[in-house]
Amino acid sequence: MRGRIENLSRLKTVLLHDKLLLPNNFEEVLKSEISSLLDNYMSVRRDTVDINISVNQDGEYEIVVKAYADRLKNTPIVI
Amino acid sequence: MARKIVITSGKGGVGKTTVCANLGTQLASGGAKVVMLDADVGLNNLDVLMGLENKVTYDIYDVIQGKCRIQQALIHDVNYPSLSVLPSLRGGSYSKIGAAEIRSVVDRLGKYDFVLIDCPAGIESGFHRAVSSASEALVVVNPTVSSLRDADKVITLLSTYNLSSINLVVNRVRGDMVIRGECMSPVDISRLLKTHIGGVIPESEYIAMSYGAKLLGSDEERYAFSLLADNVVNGRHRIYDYTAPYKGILGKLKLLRRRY
Repeated sequence: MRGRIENLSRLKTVLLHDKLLLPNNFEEVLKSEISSLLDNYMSVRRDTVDINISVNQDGEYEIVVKAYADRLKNTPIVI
Repeated sequence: MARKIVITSGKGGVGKTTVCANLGTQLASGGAKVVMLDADVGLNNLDVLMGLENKVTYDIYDVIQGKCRIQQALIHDVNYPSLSVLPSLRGGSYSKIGAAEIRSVVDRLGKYDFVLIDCPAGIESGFHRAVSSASEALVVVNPTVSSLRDADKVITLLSTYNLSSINLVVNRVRGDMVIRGECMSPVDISRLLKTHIGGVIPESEYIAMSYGAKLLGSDEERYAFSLLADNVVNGRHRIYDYTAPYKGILGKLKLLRRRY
């Protein structure tokens, strides 16, 4: 019989693996929306926008967005 | 305004219908007006578990088609007058029943305190049909990897619905195995699935054999279900102490006996 620790470890692995199976086009859609958002504030080079999604040991998504822009836009920012 | 609670799981055979029937019984014994709706169209068993299968005259499809009024289709429990069952489709084409039809029936049950919706296994159309009528969810799980994996997917799907709460019911917990470190505990499960526990139900041969008035087997199960009902009514997260039967000298002996 498998013990508590082994079962927990197996379950954690299975859940992490399942979470990495993102729906089709998920990253593309996200990249497009984030590019549009950034584009309101700076001249982003869209081809440089990169999104990396991973799952950490606590089962949380870690999202890293990397992008390059040439300059800021003259957009009034209201906080 | 009725509270509409779907009892779901993803994986089949984990005890959804049993939890639904016993929760309904507990809520009704506390005086609440309860309707249990069998949304497991095609593979319905709630009427059987309640011992009411011979009293079914009309079903949910008859209500949807307007062949009868909803009050005519409801079967009242003899032992708990405030408890009723709305039976599922007895036969025919259940593909004709959509989420909108179920929702229209549930909306007509507003004068009750609780509508418990017994959801089919899986995450296909039957799942969406049942969940779209609900405002709260109870996810029934067993402490096994396969059940919990499916529950994780179900919880993700449930989060896309406009539900006010999603809680776990950890069913078939063997306290002796948890004490010996052979099985995941409800606390482990809650932490991994990042979901509060609404109830913990011990493994019991009485529950597996029970139906109708004989529901809620021993004192232990009755207490576990009463805690679940209390948590549902009052929004608490009190956990049944599954280690209690194994405390003290007699408990230690029981623990040894269950091992061999």
